[in-house]
Amino acid sequence: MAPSVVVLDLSTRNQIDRFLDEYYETAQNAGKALKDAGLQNTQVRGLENIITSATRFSEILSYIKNQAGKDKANGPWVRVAELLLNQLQALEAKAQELGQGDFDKMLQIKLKLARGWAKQIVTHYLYLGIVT
Amino acid sequence: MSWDDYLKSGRCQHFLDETLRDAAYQAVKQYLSRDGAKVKKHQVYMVSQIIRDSGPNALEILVRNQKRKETNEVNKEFWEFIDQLLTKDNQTFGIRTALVREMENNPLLAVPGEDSPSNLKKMRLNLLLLAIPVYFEHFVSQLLYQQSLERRDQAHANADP
Repeated sequence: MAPSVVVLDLSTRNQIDRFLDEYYETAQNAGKALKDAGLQNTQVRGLENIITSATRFSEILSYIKNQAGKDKANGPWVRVAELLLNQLQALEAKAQELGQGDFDKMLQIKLKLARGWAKQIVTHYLYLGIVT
Repeated sequence: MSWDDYLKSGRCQHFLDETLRDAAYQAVKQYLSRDGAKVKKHQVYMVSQIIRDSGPNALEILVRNQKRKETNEVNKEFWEFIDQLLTKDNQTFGIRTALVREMENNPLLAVPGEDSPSNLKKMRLNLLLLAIPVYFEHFVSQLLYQQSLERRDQAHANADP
């Protein structure tokens, strides 16, 4: 059963946006890492789709870990997984800070941060595909 | 609070998203710290596949069958470990320990005036069936990931002159 959706207050939404702005350069590095590792458009879109549709933050973590698990020793997912997971860990820590112990709020913030981050990564990945 | 209300609550999502994840990741760490913890991918995939294809109850049957028929020591030990995580109350990072803590700490799961043993047993069973797919999703993905890092490190070590 899907969790109830909590409407976040304006102050929280502003804090999320501010964090994503500050995190933009870090997310761009992830987009570049995906490109350098040789991930294909379909694979990056697949990651984006999972993040967009996830109802649990850990679904995203599990997806990346499963992809790395299926890969060869120096495959593209193995090369980027650690970086992606570290960035997601930072998003989760921020969500816990902003959520202040409210579980409903924390879940929404985590997913909102992840979706904003995914857009930044994918956009930069696609941009690099055009300019390089 | 009804069972449906609990399912939609932030508390339940936290249990699935973080509490079970922490326990499963610690269980993977515990497994990998053992000598000979070298189970192959296809054995690990069987855990998530059986749950996906046949539901959470099917995992216990699979584990029982695998323990009985496996002759490969590495595989046998893996299935013994899964059995402990799934069925034993005294396994620190197992699913049942996480469940008991969740029920103890969560007043939402107690039905006021109706916390008879049979109601609590039913609630615990519902929670177990909900938790099994999620716990083993965390476990399988973490184990596969850790194994991928080992393969990567081994490949680098072999490549170094």
